[in-house]
Amino acid sequence: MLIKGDISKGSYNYLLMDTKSTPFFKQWKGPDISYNINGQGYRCNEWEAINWNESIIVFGASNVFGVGVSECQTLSSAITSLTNTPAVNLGQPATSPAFQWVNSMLLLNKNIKPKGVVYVWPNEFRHIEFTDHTGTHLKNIGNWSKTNYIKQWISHPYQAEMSARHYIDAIKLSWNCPSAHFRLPQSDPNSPLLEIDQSRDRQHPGPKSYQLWAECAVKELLLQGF
Amino acid sequence: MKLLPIIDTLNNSSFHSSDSRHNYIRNFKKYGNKWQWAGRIVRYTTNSDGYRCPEWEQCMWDASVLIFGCSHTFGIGVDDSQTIARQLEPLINKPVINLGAGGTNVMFQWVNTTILRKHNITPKAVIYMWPDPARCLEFVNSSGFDTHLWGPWSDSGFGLSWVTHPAHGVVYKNYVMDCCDVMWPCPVFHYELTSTEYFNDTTTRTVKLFQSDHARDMSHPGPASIRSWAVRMAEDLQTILHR
Repeated sequence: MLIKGDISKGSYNYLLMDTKSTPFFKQWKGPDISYNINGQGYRCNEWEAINWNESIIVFGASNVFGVGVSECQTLSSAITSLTNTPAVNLGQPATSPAFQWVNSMLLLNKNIKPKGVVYVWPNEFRHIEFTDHTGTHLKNIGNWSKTNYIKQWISHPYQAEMSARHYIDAIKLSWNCPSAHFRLPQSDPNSPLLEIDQSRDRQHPGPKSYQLWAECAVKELLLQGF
Repeated sequence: MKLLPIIDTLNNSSFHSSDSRHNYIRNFKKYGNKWQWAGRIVRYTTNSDGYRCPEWEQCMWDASVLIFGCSHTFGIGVDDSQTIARQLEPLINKPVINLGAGGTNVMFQWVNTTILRKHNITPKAVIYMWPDPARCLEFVNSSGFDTHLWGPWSDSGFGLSWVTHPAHGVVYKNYVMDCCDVMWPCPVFHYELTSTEYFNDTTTRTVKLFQSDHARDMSHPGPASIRSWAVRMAEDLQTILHR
């Protein structure tokens, strides 16, 4: 139903920047982390087991997925606790604003009407490349990519930022439910999504940060009538 | 309100882009006095932003049908009275606002759509005459309004990898169409001209339209082609406009 993620079921040992070879892995003082991933690579239930219209849907990249934190410490879990409404974690590592836009369109085309949507918009210097005509096969591209298109994209002073703004504008106009939109501090200096602690890989926010983010998201949803 | 600007605008002129005085003289020499466009005046009446429609504040948005597109919708090479908007109006008895902008792409239409929706414009219906998905829009500064267009004519630079990609532009267009569908609270119709396709697009759900004659520039579609499109669009619109 959605774009298949890069993480396949059972492959959690290979999660980006949270492998056992990471020096920080052994220093982690928190609980053991398990990644329960559905058949499409998302850290949530199988699609058919989700009651979409009674849920809050959370979109984003690795910090929504929750690389380096346990399931109960993710942004989605914190939102669930604060609202008593199940929050569906659609975070996918290494994804872009365009990826969130495509997944949103796939859900909107299924006429899904959630209670609310939360977007943590990824770094604008990432993008997607559709690899065939199916519409669901794509490559996530970013500063790790070598293609000419992304080199042009990354080196362009305005293209990434202007495009991200248009994705966000379009998505704001597309959902007919309360929606909260946040960009990361590196994209928006006024972003309330502060990183006040770190996850096990020390490259992503930690549990306290996600609790703070969830409070910001829920506040915004409530302002919009959630 | 400000939509994306039309490039190379000559307000209220008799010639426009490829329908230039130079091309007219060249074609007149080639085809002679029997050429259907010989001695014919083509009027381009545009608003302050270069669009071939009334000033934005004079548009009756909520009572109108909007039509988005590129030069085929703008009507390069045909008179004001022969554009798709003017030919469609009497067929549906509703004002049609021509938002066509020559040399534009899929994203241009999408950005203009978001601008109009942000202003809560709610028309009777919306028509998209989608440009070639092989074209790519580049934002050239941080205003978000100044753009450069890359297309199949580009042999270097930003747009080349987009233009030469066999799938990306086509799939991207389909998602933009989805997005436009959900952004408008009114019926939305999708069309495209077959001859503009650079890619072999077999996945699209647009209605295909054909070119049967030529505008004064002997490149763009002429009045008869546009008339047939208007008839088809009027048929499609009929059921929803008379509910």
